[in-house]
Amino acid sequence: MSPLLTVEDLRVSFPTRTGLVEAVRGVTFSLGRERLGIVGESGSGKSQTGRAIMGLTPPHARITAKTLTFDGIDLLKASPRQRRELRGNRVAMILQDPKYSLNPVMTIGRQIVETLRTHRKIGASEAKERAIAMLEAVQIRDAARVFDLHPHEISGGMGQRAMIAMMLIAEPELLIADEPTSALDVTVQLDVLAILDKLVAERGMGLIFVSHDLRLVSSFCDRVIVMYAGRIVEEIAAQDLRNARHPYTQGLLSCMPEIGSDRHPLPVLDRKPEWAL
Amino acid sequence: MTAVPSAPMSRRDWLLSDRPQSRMQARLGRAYMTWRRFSANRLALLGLGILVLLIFMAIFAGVLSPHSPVTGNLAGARLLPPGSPGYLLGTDEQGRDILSRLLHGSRLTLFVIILVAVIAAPTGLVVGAVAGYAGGWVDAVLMRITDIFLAFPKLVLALALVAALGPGIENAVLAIAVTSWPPYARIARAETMTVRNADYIAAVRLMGASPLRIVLLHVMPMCLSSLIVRITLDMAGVILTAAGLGFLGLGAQPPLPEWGAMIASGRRFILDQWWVATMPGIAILLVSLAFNLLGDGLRDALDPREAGQ
Amino acid sequence: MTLPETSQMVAGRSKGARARGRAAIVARFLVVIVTTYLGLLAVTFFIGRVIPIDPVLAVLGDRAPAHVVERVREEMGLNLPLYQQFLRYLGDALQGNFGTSVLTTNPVMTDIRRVLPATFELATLGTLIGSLIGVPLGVLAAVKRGSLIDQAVRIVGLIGYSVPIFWLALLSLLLFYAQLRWVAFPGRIDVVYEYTFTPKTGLFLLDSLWQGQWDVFRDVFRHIILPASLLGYVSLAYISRMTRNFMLNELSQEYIVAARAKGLSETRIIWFHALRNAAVPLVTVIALSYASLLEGSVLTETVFAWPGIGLYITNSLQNADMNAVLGGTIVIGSIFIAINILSDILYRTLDPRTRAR
Repeated sequence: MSPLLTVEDLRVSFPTRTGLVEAVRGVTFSLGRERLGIVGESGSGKSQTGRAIMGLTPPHARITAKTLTFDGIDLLKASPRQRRELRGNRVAMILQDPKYSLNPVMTIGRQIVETLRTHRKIGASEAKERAIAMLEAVQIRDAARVFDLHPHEISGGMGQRAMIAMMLIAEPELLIADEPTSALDVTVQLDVLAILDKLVAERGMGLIFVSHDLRLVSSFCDRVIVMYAGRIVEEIAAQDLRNARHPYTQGLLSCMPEIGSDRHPLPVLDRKPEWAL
Repeated sequence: MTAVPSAPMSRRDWLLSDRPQSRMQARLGRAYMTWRRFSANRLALLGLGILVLLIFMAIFAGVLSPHSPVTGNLAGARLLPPGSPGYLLGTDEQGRDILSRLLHGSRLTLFVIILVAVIAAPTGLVVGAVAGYAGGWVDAVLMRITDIFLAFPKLVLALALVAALGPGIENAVLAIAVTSWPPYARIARAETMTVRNADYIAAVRLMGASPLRIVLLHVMPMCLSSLIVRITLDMAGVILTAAGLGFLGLGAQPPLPEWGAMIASGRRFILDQWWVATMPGIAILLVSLAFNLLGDGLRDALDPREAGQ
Repeated sequence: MTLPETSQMVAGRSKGARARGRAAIVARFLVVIVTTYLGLLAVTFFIGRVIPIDPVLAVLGDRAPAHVVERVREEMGLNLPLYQQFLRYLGDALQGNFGTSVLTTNPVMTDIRRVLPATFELATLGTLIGSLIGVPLGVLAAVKRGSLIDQAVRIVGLIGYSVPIFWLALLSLLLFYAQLRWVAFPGRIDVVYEYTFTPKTGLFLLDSLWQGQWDVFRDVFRHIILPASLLGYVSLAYISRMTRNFMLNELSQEYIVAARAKGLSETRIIWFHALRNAAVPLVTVIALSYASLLEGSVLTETVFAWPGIGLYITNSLQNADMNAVLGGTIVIGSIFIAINILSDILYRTLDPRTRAR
């Protein structure tokens, strides 16, 4: 079976006044219907990798790759229209903070229906039914009422569920989740993750889970990519993470506190300039 | 710690040093950075250039003017078109040289701008700083008054005021000043509220400084840069209002060469001698434009956060 | 483990709290209206009665005979203490009694009722022109930031900010009336129609259209289009600039990225999602610009001989008719207050976050 997504030597750079800034410098991986985690600190290029696949990098950015295909479609050669038809329909993305990523003046329901009706020829009442069903699928009780609420009237956890509903309603094959729980209260993070996990498993989607949280990613994904300064420094199956070879990954792992061990002082993450080469 | 080696330093390096040796150097360095941001903006420089030219014109109006601004050559030089020998911009209905009148009129324009700024800005600054620092009912009352003035039609109120006080350039200045202080109070209050609870204000308070001292020496200076930007932008409007009052015959009285009044007197000849009303209008447009350009540039340079452009 | 959220977490506040919130808003609006109006009257009272050495002289002029002066002094209550004068003034003003105009010998309020529709029609058309062109221009400038269109909009705006409107009015008359003959002579309607056309509302465009008098409509249009375009240009300068700023702000928000991730077209993202959000502060901007056009009528109406409140005030000024000047000031001030309140209410209904808070 050919992979859903193939990325080979992806590079994303931004021209600035002081010269070209390379955010992603030659990233290669492929993805089937599995859960892939991309981990890295801020500025490591993990989010830009996700956005480049979506086609959401700002217009002045330069994107090159040897291969960038989704289900056999060459994304770099695809017209803007073709890419738009993929977005939200076959490839979707969940953003970090529902407080900012939902349109404040539109009701939750309209925003979900909008995704559906952009990609499917479907009547208004049927779209509404399906949106409410989708809200129920992300375990929102009283979905018919939430349908008519504005984003500011619901909590962050519920907002992120609505976001998931909005992005999954057209039943995409690939979902990119960009730090989907980092802005949420710790208490609801696990709920949202559980919902996401269930839906991804049920619908057999491919998932790219972008996060700075190595532990979260390793418990949630099948495979983990560790990025540093725009490059992949390590690619490893989640269960083998303890055997990671790269010193940066080891450093990340050893930074995580463990119950029952008293380590003072906590180790500080080491960043060697040669890793960025 | 080792002493910084006193190697020869270019003046630029000295200014941009991130380890200034004195308060003076730090200040100059900051000023230099601001200037570099400002001067990167060509339109802002153009605005500054026009204003420098205006000041130059005002100072040397007496020397630069080829003719008298008030007494004209009624016999031989009435309503001459621009480019007539000796009269570069033409003459008006009393045979007066328009160029000379414009040059002298720049003094009146500067007079109005400076006086309005000197009256309105400190008034607003004090009201706003006191309201913001005192808080409570003082704040409530002062801000209600400010809001009331903000809700008024400025131009019409100025008109009514001049009508009561009697026409004249001093009264026009007063009327404009009375109607233009409220925005400054708003800005000063907002800035004061943000610095009021800052730690350094608490420190000054602990050292026993009186509220007056705190407001005057520690709070007000913090409001200055946003205030300067706002004043600069407002001056464009002040010039237009002053010219408007002049146009309606409420500002400077004849034979003073006020630009708005010059347009009013040229109005009668607009169909045949277009230049009489056109020239002073261009002067007003240029100076007002200059203030707008300068204000935009200052805002971008002094407050990069706010730079919406 | 998943905890379905309870409905209380959704609602946030009970119905009672919401009703109390609404009452608080109404109360605040009332305080604002009352204090602002009191302030306006206090200032005009000060201008009319305190500044002039002899207010009677200010009202009557210096040619009135002595017994008239004495009678008017009595009528105006100038022999009373100042605070009682102010109370009387307040009572009169609240009943719309601003005294009699020396110039027209009518009650000032009657005069103003007669001239107000003309200004209203002109300012409304001006704001319409300014918004209908200014908003799209601002949106385009923001979307194509840094492009030629953006620069052009910026320069058009800057000139609109800086130009003396009465001067531009004169030059445009020179060009469009005297040279090109595209528009009619200053005034509101041709003398020919003054006797055949009886307006109902005072808004000539609507009236002539309503009555099906096409020739009148054409004539009225040829009169109004130039002053309205000029006012429209001034408001366009302000509106396009603010639209651009608001749109730049909205377009940098995360919900725009989300909208793109949903696969929406740029057209829908810009003109629906972003503009719908930018519209919230834009309402205030358009209201402010409408208010400033009403006020700007003082300068434009003189040039175009437009028989509105601006011309009324300036004519009264030239004849030292203080009652009329102050009456006009109070009426324009009242309209300002009303516009401020209306725009605030509109803002609240447009922004769900402030609704019923």
